[in-house]
Amino acid sequence: MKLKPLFESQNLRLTSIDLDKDSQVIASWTYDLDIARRLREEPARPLPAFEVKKIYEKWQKEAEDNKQFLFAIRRRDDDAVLGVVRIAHIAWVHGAAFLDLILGSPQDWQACAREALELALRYAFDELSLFRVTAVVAEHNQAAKDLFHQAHFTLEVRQREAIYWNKRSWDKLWFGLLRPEWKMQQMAEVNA
Amino acid sequence: MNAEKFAGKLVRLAVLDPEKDSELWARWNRDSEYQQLLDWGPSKLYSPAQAREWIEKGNAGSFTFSIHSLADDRIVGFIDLDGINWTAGDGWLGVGIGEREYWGKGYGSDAIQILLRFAFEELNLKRISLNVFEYNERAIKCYEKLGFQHEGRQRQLLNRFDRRWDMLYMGILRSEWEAKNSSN
Repeated sequence: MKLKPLFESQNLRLTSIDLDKDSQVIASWTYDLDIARRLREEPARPLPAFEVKKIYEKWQKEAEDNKQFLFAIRRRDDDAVLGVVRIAHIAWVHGAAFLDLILGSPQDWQACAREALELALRYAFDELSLFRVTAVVAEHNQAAKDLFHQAHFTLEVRQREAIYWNKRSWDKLWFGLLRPEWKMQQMAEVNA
Repeated sequence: MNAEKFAGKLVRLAVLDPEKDSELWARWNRDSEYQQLLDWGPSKLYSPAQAREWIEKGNAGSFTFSIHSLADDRIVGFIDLDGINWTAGDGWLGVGIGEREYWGKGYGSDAIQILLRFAFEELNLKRISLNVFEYNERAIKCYEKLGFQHEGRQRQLLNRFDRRWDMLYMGILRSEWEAKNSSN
């Protein structure tokens, strides 16, 4: 039986989070309030590195108890941290969880989001044996909407005007991917 | 006393009484159907002491009330507003009627009306969200009647009673609530 590595892909690696070093980098991303919003409850604001470190410390503890799973996304070439991926709010009884993918810059999103998502989904479905994952996206985040559509997620819920950003209300979109749908894609890729 | 805001036609909402409500919550949880309609986690049993500790610990971000029947002042359930996003003006509603003889008689619905009024008129929220299991048909009908709109469903989210079920999401905007209440 040939096993695919879970933590490596062509250009990326999933690694543990280096609380000291990575918190500095992640904190620098939080001037993008859409990223800040993913780290703590509203109102979103830029976060200093020490607060980011506290948040990830707490999440790391939860990860030790398998309550969530948390990885830094690094470029293989130079080991730079480009993003973070988190599988959280896991309901083991139902095999359901939320997936939260962050990449620090729009350029890295453009270049790496698809590859990072593939790694995260392989982990969620193959390693955690989940039945479904949910990704919550703000209506104004076109790049994220495109990604989840490309990855064959289904737009399942549209909470009207549930987000406030840049002077107005936007819908909160919930995308879902089921295990059988993901399996079908894997088969299609193998056969292609 | 200015409690009219927290009273409706059948019920009034009151702050939790750690001693009384903890006893009731522990007893209601022995009714597994109640839990299976209310919560997506595995049904559990808590002692009154555990429930009391939970109530007394409180949660600064949430508003939890007990629901009292106006006729006999009996506590029949609870209602809760939490997960509030103050920037967007969105909050999540949860409601449970623990006393079975009060099921399907409009008590939950009346309590929700009071909470919506509080949320929109006092907290200045713009919308209220909720989710409900596909198999909880009585609750879905109640939310529809109150003016909540269907906003989608997480497909096959729940693994229960030997099959998978959807989780339904519903929401009501303040404008919808105002329109509905001015026409009544």
